[in-house]
Amino acid sequence: MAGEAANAFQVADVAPEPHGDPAAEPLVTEELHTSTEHAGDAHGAKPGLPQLDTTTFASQLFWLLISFAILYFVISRVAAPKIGGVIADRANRIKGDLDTAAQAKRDSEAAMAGYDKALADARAKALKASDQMRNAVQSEINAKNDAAAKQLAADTAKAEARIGEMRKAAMARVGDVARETAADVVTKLTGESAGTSDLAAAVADALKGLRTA
Amino acid sequence: MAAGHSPMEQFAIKPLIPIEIGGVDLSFTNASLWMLLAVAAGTLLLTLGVKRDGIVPGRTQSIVELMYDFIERQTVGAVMGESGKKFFPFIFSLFIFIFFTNFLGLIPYSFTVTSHIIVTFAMALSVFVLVLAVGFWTHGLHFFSLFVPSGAPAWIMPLLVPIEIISFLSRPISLSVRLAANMLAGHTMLKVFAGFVVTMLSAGGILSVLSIAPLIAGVLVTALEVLVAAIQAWVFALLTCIYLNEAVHLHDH
Repeated sequence: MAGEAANAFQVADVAPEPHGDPAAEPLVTEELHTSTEHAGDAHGAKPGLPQLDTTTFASQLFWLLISFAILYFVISRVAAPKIGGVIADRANRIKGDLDTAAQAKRDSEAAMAGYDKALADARAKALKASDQMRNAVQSEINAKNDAAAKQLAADTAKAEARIGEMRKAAMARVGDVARETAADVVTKLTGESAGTSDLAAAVADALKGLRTA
Repeated sequence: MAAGHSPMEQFAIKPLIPIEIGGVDLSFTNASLWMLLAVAAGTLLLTLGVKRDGIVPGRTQSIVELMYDFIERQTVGAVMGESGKKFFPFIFSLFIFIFFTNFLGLIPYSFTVTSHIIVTFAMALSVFVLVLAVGFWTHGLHFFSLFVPSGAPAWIMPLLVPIEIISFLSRPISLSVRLAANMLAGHTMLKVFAGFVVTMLSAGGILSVLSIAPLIAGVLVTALEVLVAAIQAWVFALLTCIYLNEAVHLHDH
């Protein structure tokens, strides 16, 4: 492609070359063969490494300056900010998403903690209510028990007192009965009445023995 | 078309539109054409390949972002840190320009702009001038301490300082020759192997069959050249970063 362009340049340069002339043939081939040098010649330089052809330097530097300036302008003003912006946007978006996720996690943990706390509170409240109820019932039962026990004790004491009195009264009369009985027995057995003081002493002895037995 | 010619012919500068201004030949040549094509390719890829709302990048955008990230973060950022931010557009432009001129030069019958020492030298020299400007702007005359290696004994200075100065001054040369020589050698080698194929095929007989060998070699060299094209563009950008970093931070980095 580039070679053809050079050839075109070449042909234009050495244009008046009659075609179909057999004598001209080798000349054209030679022209093609040395197109490099001739292209150089057009610039007025010597053959050799194209890199060392100083006549092309000005053109190369000039076009390098232009093309690099365009590229630098495009990159510094358009491309770099755009690409950097897209990358930064993505980083921010990912960071934002991660933050949102972390926030959601914290929220759900807080909700979970709240739920646990409500549950514990309710449980404690229920426990307290049932304790209160139990205590109230218990104290009522205790009070009634106490009252019943007191009543019972009072009744028992009263009854015991009465029994005691009756026993005392009975015991008191046991001596009299024993003495009368003993007097009657002695009278019936001996025909004479025994001395009251002897009888009383004997009965008292017997009773003492009875009581201690 | 040019098979019979010297392998050097591919590097010839051929005027397409002759222009002369003030007695200076500024013709639009094949070199100019391929420079502009490289700029056009770079511009197209870097602008149209990226969508503003491309949160999920497509194939082209992934390539662009890969290149951008490679130079911005892994080269400029890694070497220069924060101070590299203002140099990034320049370094990225250098990378893109060299990358595309190298790659377009691999197309048969195209032209490799970077195989010409004057082009690479101009770029290397502009880097050199930028390094000097940044160095003197940031540090004033203290910039000369760059040539005094820290920690070396005083008696060895008369030897070390000239070496440092020479190595500093030879940077634009090494930077430009490295790139141009790589392109020149690679493309010459490709052309030589391709020429072998044509010569052996036209020789006929057993040589025609054997011409498969230089063909395979040519394919392998082409693969190598693809690698070299990218690596040399990156090396140029990386060295520019290292030189600029020295100018900004002197020895204290």
